[in-house]
Parts: sequence; structure tokens; C-alpha cells
Amino acid sequence: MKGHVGGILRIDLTGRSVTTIPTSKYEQWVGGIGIGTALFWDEIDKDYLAKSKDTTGFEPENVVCIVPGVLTGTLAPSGGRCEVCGIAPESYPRPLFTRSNFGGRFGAMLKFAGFDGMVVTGKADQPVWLDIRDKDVQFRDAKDLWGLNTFETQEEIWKQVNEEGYGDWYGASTRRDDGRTTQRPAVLTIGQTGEKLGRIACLVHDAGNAAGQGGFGGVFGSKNLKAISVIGTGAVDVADPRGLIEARQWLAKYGFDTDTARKKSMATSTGREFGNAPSDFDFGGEYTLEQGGRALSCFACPSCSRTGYKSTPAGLPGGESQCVEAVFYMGDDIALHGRTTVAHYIAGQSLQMYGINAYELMTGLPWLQTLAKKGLLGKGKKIDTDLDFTKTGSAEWVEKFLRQIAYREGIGDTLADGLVRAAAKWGVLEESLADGTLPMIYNIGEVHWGDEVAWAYQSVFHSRDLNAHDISKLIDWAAPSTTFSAEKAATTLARMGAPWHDPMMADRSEAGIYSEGMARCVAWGTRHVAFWKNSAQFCDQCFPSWLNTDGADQIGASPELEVKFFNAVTGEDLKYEDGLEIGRKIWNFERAILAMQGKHRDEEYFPPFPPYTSYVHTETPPFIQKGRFFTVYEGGKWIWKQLNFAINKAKMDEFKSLYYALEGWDGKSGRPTRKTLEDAGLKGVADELEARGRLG
Amino acid sequence: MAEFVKTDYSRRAFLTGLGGIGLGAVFGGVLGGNLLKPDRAIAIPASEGYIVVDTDKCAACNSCMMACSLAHEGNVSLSNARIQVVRDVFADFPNDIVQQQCRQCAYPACVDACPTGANHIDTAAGNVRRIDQAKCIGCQRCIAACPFTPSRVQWNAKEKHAQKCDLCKGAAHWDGPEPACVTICPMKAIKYVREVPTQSDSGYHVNLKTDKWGQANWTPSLG
Repeated sequence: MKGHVGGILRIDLTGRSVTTIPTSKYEQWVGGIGIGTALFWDEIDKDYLAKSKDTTGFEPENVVCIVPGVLTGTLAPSGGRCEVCGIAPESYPRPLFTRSNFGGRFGAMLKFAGFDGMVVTGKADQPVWLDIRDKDVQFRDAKDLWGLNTFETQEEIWKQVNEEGYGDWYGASTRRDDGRTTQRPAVLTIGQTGEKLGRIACLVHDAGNAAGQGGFGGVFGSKNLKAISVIGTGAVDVADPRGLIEARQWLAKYGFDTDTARKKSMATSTGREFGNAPSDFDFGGEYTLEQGGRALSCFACPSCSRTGYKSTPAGLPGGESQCVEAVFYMGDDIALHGRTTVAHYIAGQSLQMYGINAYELMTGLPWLQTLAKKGLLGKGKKIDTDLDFTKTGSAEWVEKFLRQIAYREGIGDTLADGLVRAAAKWGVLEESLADGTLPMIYNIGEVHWGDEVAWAYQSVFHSRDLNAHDISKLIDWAAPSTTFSAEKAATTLARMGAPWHDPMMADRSEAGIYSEGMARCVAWGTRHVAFWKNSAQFCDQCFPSWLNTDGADQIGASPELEVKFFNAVTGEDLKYEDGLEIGRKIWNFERAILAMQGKHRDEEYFPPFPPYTSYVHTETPPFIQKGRFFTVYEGGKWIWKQLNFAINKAKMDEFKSLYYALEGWDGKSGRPTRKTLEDAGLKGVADELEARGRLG
Repeated sequence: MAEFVKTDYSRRAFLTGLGGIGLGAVFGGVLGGNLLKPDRAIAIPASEGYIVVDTDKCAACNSCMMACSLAHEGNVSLSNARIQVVRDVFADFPNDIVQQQCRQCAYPACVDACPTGANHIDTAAGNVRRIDQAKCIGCQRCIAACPFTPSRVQWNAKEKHAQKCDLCKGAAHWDGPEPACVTICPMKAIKYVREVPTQSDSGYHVNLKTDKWGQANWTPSLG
């Protein structure tokens, strides 16, 4: 299909060989996680996959796939996104197959170089970086880069690829008539954390686009792979060029008008508008637009996410941090200084430079402070550290803290393996999970059971916090400040909730969260995320567009938006439901890989790990708000209702059976059945699972 | 072949009259090339359209570049784009992003350098400075002649010819009332104007911001 550029790069670091796999072999999987999963399955050693309990994820046998979406590198919105998948060292208690993704421009540049994705296997005998210039790929010695942070590494690589600097035309090759670019190489790199095999190490691109979850930075480090650099001077063909431009004009009608500052979005995924303006969800304080700055966007995206600042502290440029990495230290900064200062800015940027998973710190810092308050953590205490967790808030404190994690010094050596492993090592895991101070799932991300139950279920059936905001602003974060009724929310979800179109997918009552409606909501969510979010790719930041002031009957741009752009680029005639069906196949493929690794129904609970009794629905780990309103169907009508009840383990068990049945998975194990896999075109996968006794 | 208005002006008087436009535009090209002949001066028709960019508003999304490439080539390629935006992710505002569009120079050095007349002033299309691909022999002299960095003339490596901004007059896949880049920009940072903008050696400076500029479009309600 158009949107594909023809080849997938296969890099064997052990033998330093480069081959190209034709994309046509994977065309049915479309892009992103679809192609990534299928590629991973073909490349991974099945024995290694099956014995995950005995592995770390740092073995040379681990495989990392880096695959842009099929729409990446075109004018389709969020045209910069790129998926990463492989076995994640961060998972607890054993590494699981998982995925992460990142924005910026790397994915687009890879497409312009002529590649729909890449797969990296093996381990180099000494540190290397990959230098990709169009179809030419070289292994470069990285000994001068090893030890540099992510920002320093990129600057050094830019110098090595084009000494002249940037902003002028330079060639991908030395031949006069070959392609040229004015753009700097797009680089994906690790910092010191990855070099030290941190299980919470990220892959970082430009000033803050990161594949944060999974510890893939540590996987790169274990492979002696410091960075991948790409310049591409080629093109991505699209089926309908005029239609693609017109689709953007159509989308702009739903978008924030930067000249009138008129907001139109009533509900997108996170609530973000289409149409750019600087965001105030970044550093704040003296680092705001009022001090002078601009909106900053990922490649092709009409929904600006970041702010470029006017005068940042020396050596700590800003611009691409937002959300968790920007705010994780803000509370401590304010607590000490009475207002935001440069301290939380330094915290966020240092985290980017070391390449540390921000979610671990967002959750972890308050947890560590709790341990300190309990008298367990401190100088000479049971968990001995020279860091005083009762005296946070300064730049000096956080720099020391992050440095220890990056270099595995002091308690950083334990924290670099992730919070749950640290808690287990220190003998405080069970109590921390039980009292809610450590709300982690599979050691990757937050649990969300307290506010976004459907998202939490999706996560528990996968291998990480899926970070799927799809219905957040429609259902979970909406009231009481929303302008639309609970009934509107439910019917709007049903509108897209194919194939059932059941408003009960929105019922968050005490019965509803264990019901068939919830099972359908979870199933729809996993399929939408697998295909439309992570294979096409549409960014979780602002898609779907549910409700909009300028839509007919206030209906937003989705799913027409996704379909319009997909078909304009690819030339296919895909319907929204067709995409969901591909998503179902991808979800089952991912599920099969997890089954291969031994994942079982008995592991799939909200923390604390079994045995446990129950916990309060609105408990307050770091940023869950008490007394939330949700859509509830009660007395024959839809209402916004504040909830406050405990999730019940026995009822969750029943729900799991219901959900597994809906998906066609074995009730006892939760693993996909042969019939379900064959229906998804995965007979070979079923055979492999059966041979190892892991078939549902 | 372009047609020029012939007058009785002496060359010196003509050059003096050009003084307000900026040194780069006047001296960037090779004097005495195609445009200026030894014995008479020629009045070069000014373009009737210009692309201007409010550099503060730009969010470096590259949509303009992609729309340009789509409009002309039917594919998406940053290297094919006739407007270039370059960004230093590690620099501070306002020096972090530079937009580099063709200025439709009063004295187009690229036109002057072309040996075949491929790069010409199209008097049937608002005097836009554009390249007739059929006549381009790929000598790349126009690319070298552009006084600006990067050259506002691109090299199309696949088809082996030069290309440049034609204000979408020759865009096969776009015939909207305004150039594709103007239409697509989500920040409304690009404008199509009909009068010669005030120039300096660092470019055009325009303010396209309204009094609503800078208001954040989203306040987080964290989960």
C-alpha cells in the first residue's frame, strides 16, 4: 500500500551485517506495532522467548523492532510517531514482550531514508552507533560517545555526519547528483542510564521525545548500541496528494484557531485541541510563554504539545519536555521555595539527558519520601542512603538523585532496576502495594484502576500501563466541569464502539465495571489502540476527537478523521471497523507472544499481587483525585455520579472470565485458543504455542 | 524567453534606484549575465506575489514543507520542499527555528545564471520566478547562484533537475486560491502578499500575530 516505502532494515550487531526485508512480507500488518509484532515473532529465538523467567532482557538474543506508522512521514497528523517493541527488562517479576513509542521526526526520517522499519539483533563486540544515510548503513565506533548524555551524543553525531553545521544543503553521499537535505540527522540514543543497563532507561530523540517504558535504553546498552542516526532525502508516496491536503483543511475546521484563541474541543482523548498554541502543561513558572517563547510541534502535527523557551539555563535547553517529565519535581520545588523555580526545570532536563523513565520518578519519589517518613530510608537506616528524602526541592538534591540512578551509585544501583524490584529487594514490596503508596503494574507505569478502569483492565491484560487516554476526557476526567451530559458521553462512545455500538460500554457503576459492557469497552479499546493508535499512528495526545463545538450535533472528527487520512495516504478503502479487526489480530498476536512467555490468568490482577483482599476505588496514589464523577446508568437513565467503592477480587475474577470469552481466549489460562489464532491468520503461532504447552 | 521592458535609463541610474532593496538581492547574482546587457539597462518586472513568514509563530511542524512537496511532486519529501524550515532543538527561542522561503528577488540571480532559460520570470503568471523542468539541463548553476543559505533552489535527485518555489503556479496537485504552504500552516504563520515586503539581509520580518496570540490552548486535568 502507499505510505510504505518498500523495505525493512535488518541489523545484526554480532556479525555487523545489514540486510533488507521487503515490506510486502508484512504488508497485512500495516505498520507500527502491527509490523513490529510480526517482525519480532519472526526474528526472536523461540526457546529464548519461552524461558523468560530465566532471562533479564539484556541477552544478545533479545530483539528490538523500531517501526514507524504507515502514515508516518506524511501530512497525516502526528506524522512523526514511531513504535519500539521487544522484550522489556523493566517488567516484573520477569521480562515481558512490550512496546513503547515516541514522536519527533525520527520515524519520518527513517521513511525518507527508504525504510518502513528496522529490527536490531545480536550484540556488537564494542560500542557502536549506526549511521544511516538514505540506503547506506555504516557501523561507527562509539567509544568517544560512550559516557555522554543524550544531548551531548546527538550534538557529537551531528558534527560527525555534517561538519558544516546545519541549515545548508548537504548530501547524503558525496556524489553531486544524489539527494540532499538541510535537516540535521534524526538520532535515537541512550544516555548513561542505558549504558549501565538500567531497566528504567529510555531511548531519547532530539530534546525529549522518548520511548520511555520498557527499559529499551538498557537493551541498547546491553547490545553495545549507543545510537541510531538517520538522514533521508527520499520520499513517501501517497495515493491522493490533493485529498491529503484537503483532509488537513477539513480537520482545521475542528481545530483551535490560533488567531482567535477560540477553543472548540469538548472531548478529545486528553482534552487537547487540534490546532497549535503553546501548552501550559510543561514547566511553568518562569518557563512560560509569557516570558517569551513559541509553540513546538512534532513532525506534521497540527496539535502542538510543547513550548520552546526564551532563555533556559546554560547547558539545559528546553522545548520538548512536557507532562510527567516536566512536572515530576514541581511539587517538591514549590514545597521548598513557595513557587516554581529553575529546580524543577533542571530536574526534567536532567532526566532527559540521562535517559531515565519519568514515570518511575513521578510515582517513585513520593514513595521514597514515604519510606523516609516511616524511618526505613535514610542515613544509617535499613535502606541506607546519603540522600535525605525529607529535604527535596532543590536543584542540587535532584541532580544528585538522578545522577545516582544513571550511574548506579548508592541506592541508584537498586533504583535503576525499577521501583518494584527495588521494593522487593528492600523487603517492602507487599506493604507498599497494599497501602497504595506504590501503585505499579508489571513494574511499568501506573495502574489507573482508581480513575480509568477500562484503561487499567487493558493494561493488566497486556504487559505495561498502556497509557491509553482514548476515553479519558469523554468518560473518566469529564465531569463535573464538562458541558455535555452523561448520556451524550455514553452514546458517543457507542458510536465508535464497533462492532457492538453498546452505550453500556460507558457504565461505570459498581455492577457496570464487571459487566459485558465493560468487556466490550476493553475489547474495543485494545483494538483501537493496536491499530489506529499504534500501527497507523495517531497520537494518544489528542485522538480520538469525540465531541467538538463545531461538529454537527457536537460530534467530533473521529472516526472520520482516522479513515480519511488513512485512505488518502494508502489508497485503501478501509472502514473504521476494518481497522478494528486488524487491531484485534494484532492484539491476539501480542497476547500469543505473552502466552509464549508463560503469562497466565493467575497473574492478571490489579496490585497488590496475590494474595490480597480488596482496595478502595478512589485511593490516592500520586495524582488520582478523590470523588471523581463517572458515567453511570441508574434508574433507567445516564447520570454523572461520584463513585467510592472497593474493587472486589472475586468479581474481577468473574469479569476476567467474561472478557476472555469475548476475546476467544481459554477461560482457565487466559491464553488465545487455536481457533482464535487461526481466525487471525496465525496458525503458525498456534502451532508453536501448542508445541510448548502454552496454547489456550 | 522572458520579455523585459526596455527603457532609456542608464545602468548607473538603474542600480542607484535599486539601492533600497538590500545588498544581497542586488549583488548576489553575476552582473552582466542574462539580465543586464552592457549597453542598456532593463527593468526587471517584480513578482506580484511573495511568501512571508512570522518566524515567532512557526512551530516547526514541517507541514509547509510537506504540503509543498505533495502539491508539486505528489509525494512527501523534505528534500523536495521549496520552502525549508530548519530547527536547532538545543537552541532557545527565537533563534531555534529558521524559515527559508524563496524571496522572489527583485534581481533574481538564479534566473540570471540559467544558460537555457529554464529558470525564468513568467510574465504570464504574475512574474513568478520559476523553472521550466523541460528546459532544465541539471547544470545546478542556479542552485549555486542563489545568494542565500540554504540555496532557495533545490536539487531534485530523483528526476535530476533543479526546482524552486513557483508560488504554486505550476503545482500539479494543488490549485487552491493560495499556495499550499499558506493553506496548510496550523499556526497561520505564513502569508501570501502582493507587495514587496520590507527586507533586510536577514529576511522579511512580518508580524502575523493577533492580540490573542500566546494563549495556551489546553489546561491539563491530570488523571
